[in-house]
Amino acid sequence: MGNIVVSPHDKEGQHHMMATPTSNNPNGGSAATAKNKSEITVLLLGAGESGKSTLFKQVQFFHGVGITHDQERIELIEIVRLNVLENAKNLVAATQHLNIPIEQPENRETAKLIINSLNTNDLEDPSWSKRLYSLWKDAGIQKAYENREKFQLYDSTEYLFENLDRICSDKYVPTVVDVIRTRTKTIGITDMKFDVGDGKQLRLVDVGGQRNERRKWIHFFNTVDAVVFLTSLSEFDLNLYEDNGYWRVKESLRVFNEVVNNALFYKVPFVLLFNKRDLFEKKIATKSFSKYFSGFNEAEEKNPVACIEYMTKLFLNEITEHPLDTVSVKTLSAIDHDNSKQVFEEVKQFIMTQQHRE
Amino acid sequence: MIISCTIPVFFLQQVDNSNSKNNIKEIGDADLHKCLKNQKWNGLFLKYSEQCFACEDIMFWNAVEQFKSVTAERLKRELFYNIYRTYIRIGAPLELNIARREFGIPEIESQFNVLCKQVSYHHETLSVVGKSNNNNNNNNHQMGMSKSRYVDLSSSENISVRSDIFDQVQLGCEHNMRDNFYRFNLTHSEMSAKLVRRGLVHNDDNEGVLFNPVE
Repeated sequence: MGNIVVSPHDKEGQHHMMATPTSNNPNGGSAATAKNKSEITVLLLGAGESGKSTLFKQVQFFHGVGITHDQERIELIEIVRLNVLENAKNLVAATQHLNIPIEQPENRETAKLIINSLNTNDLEDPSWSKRLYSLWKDAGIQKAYENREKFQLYDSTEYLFENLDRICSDKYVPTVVDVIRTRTKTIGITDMKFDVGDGKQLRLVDVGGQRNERRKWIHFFNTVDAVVFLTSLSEFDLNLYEDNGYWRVKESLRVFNEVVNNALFYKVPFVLLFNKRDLFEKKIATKSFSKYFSGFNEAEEKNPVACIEYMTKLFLNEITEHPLDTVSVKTLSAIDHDNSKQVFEEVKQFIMTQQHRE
Repeated sequence: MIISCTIPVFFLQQVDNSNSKNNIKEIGDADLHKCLKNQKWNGLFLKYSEQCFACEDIMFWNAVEQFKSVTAERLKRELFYNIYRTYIRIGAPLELNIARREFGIPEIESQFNVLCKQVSYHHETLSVVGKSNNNNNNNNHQMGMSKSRYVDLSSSENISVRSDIFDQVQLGCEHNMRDNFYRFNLTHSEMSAKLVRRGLVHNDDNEGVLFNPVE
């Protein structure tokens, strides 16, 4: 998918990019839902950085929600540039932490500025594009990047550094792809609604995934008509953001177990999405998958299909209560627009068919 | 002496809003700061965040502003203690979404433990008066933890808590707020646009508009 620049002069009255809470009290919707089955509430659940918000943003985009306000564009510029700075800071901090020197003296100067004083307004100056890119290409930073499983870094890093020439300019206008690629940790709960035909509306609910955020999920458990659980295939060598000594896969399995076996969801269609397939395939080409799973045959570790099959078994083994015929498993690359569209369409069909059966 | 966890929210009047008329053209962080430092907008943003289950960052931010404005050591210790127990501790009622090895959290944790040790040691020596004092301090800080908010911090007189101890966490919270602040801003600019269209508010009336888009 190419970079689509959202026109700065969209029609008035169009939806804006980010959803707003559709009701003041999410529980208030429950009585209405029970009486009136015209609204289908779908929860996006999963641990931190599994791609819930990325899928949410994709669904917004292919339902005609665009970037329409000037204010919105300004905020998005800020968010993208903050991402650049955070990525740069994390990388520089990692070189210190891992004891890898930044090689070029001018890059060391840049690193100092990044840590101490650089802010998003500075990035309007195109000279920063060169300086940051040169830092990114520094052998020390690249070595730290190769060891990124040892610290916390966003998946967007490479993409953002490769697009600095656009971002570091006073004419910068964020593209749809920029917005999809940008990492923003979701705090709390947001939702959006759209028509799905037959006079029905689908309400998609996005939530934060870290441990403290999961305590908020329960507010929505009563009103749910379907659950889409996301887990990242490429997290097999990573530890948690909120607890850097805890393996992400273990956490995902634990959360999946709690959600899928929750009594409130017995009768609810359940979709398990293995996300970040693109990153995963790249990662297993260079990193050992079997190192992390003692039960996996080492000879198969470069075969993505075999790896995904193994992961699927691992997750399905957690299901003790939920009827298996209402569980669907799919893979996804949420940053890929076409793939997201196709997978979400399948998910929607699965949910609607299951609803019909009731 | 005992300050409940919710009180910090009502100390907003102490938030400095003297520089809210500052008209330097800045975007992003500056807008968020303006909003947080202005009593009315802080309240509106807090209300909005409550609706999307994300109020802990703003409440913490406000609590830290209060903490920083206090000079009396004893009150500062109490605020530190309450902030830790309300927002930072694992499983805290309003636990923040932040990485536990960053933002100076390890330092805050050890400061809390020092504080608790002092306090519970004091309590224990009082309670064992008259008995043989075998001074077992293994479960000291456990005691401090379970004492909840009724703990008497007056005994920790020699401990001074740094005013900037929460600064990094506060910055982290500002970061966390960005996504919701963005939506909050949109909701308000939309609302005010509607009001203007209906002729209910004049365009130059600042009531409904938080920030004008950059000229």
